[in-house]
Amino acid sequence: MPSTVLTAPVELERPEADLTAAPDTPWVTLVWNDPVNLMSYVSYVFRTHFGYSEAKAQALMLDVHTKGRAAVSSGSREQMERDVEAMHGYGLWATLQKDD
Amino acid sequence: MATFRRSRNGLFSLTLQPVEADVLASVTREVLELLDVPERRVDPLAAELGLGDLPAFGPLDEDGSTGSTGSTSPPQDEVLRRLLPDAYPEDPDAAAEFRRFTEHGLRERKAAAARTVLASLAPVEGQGGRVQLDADGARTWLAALNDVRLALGTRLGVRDDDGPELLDEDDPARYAWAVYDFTTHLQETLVRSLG
Repeated sequence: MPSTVLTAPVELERPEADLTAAPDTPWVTLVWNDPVNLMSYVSYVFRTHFGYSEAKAQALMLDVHTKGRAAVSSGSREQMERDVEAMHGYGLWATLQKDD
Repeated sequence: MATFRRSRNGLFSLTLQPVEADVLASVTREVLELLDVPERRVDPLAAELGLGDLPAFGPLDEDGSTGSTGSTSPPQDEVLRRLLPDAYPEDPDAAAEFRRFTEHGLRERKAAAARTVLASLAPVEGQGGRVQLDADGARTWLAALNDVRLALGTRLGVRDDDGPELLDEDDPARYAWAVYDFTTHLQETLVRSLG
């Protein structure tokens, strides 16, 4: 994501550990960093599609930007396929895999 | 530069100069063409932007289709590959299955968004003027603008958080970068307006 359009992030609380997959939900949706997608847009997508709070969406977006990827949802394989398809609809680069 | 603003009545409004309206319609139309008829045409986006000399697209599928329905292999065109990426990068069989069931619908939805943008631009093409969108329209524009930026960014080889290298006055990529920056500004101001 282009950092030139980054508005200075305020101090963020880390998201709760709810992204840690439960034993019966072993799949995760990963969103990968991308040089085109705007940080503001990625955060907007996380809020809009997943219903995440502003703080959680921002934290996930910054994870994508700084770490190269972030697990943005977890659940059954079918649920993750739906999330990945939705992310592709928004133009985000998303994949799914078993959580390990 | 044209900027999205949210007005008191809750609508999202954008006032475009004639050239801005035309450029925006033009790049949107090119993405729409790319989505509908992939793989074998001369790439209209690259041609419009003066980025010729790009590799030709591959042949048709064996059944003579353009691969837009139920395709299992990634598109050959780099822009389409970015718009319709693999869901399982390390599992080609799963990626093919996923693509078979999702790619056609994704193409249709992206094409529908591009058509919505073109419909709102039709009254201002050639003359400029104000475009007003309701919340649904704004969300559709946001996704379509993103697809346009992905297409332009892919063609330009945007790699990281950098701008263009210093380009010669007559380098056609200067124009492409200007269009890219313009669509970036539109998307940035629209996403901020949506809040």
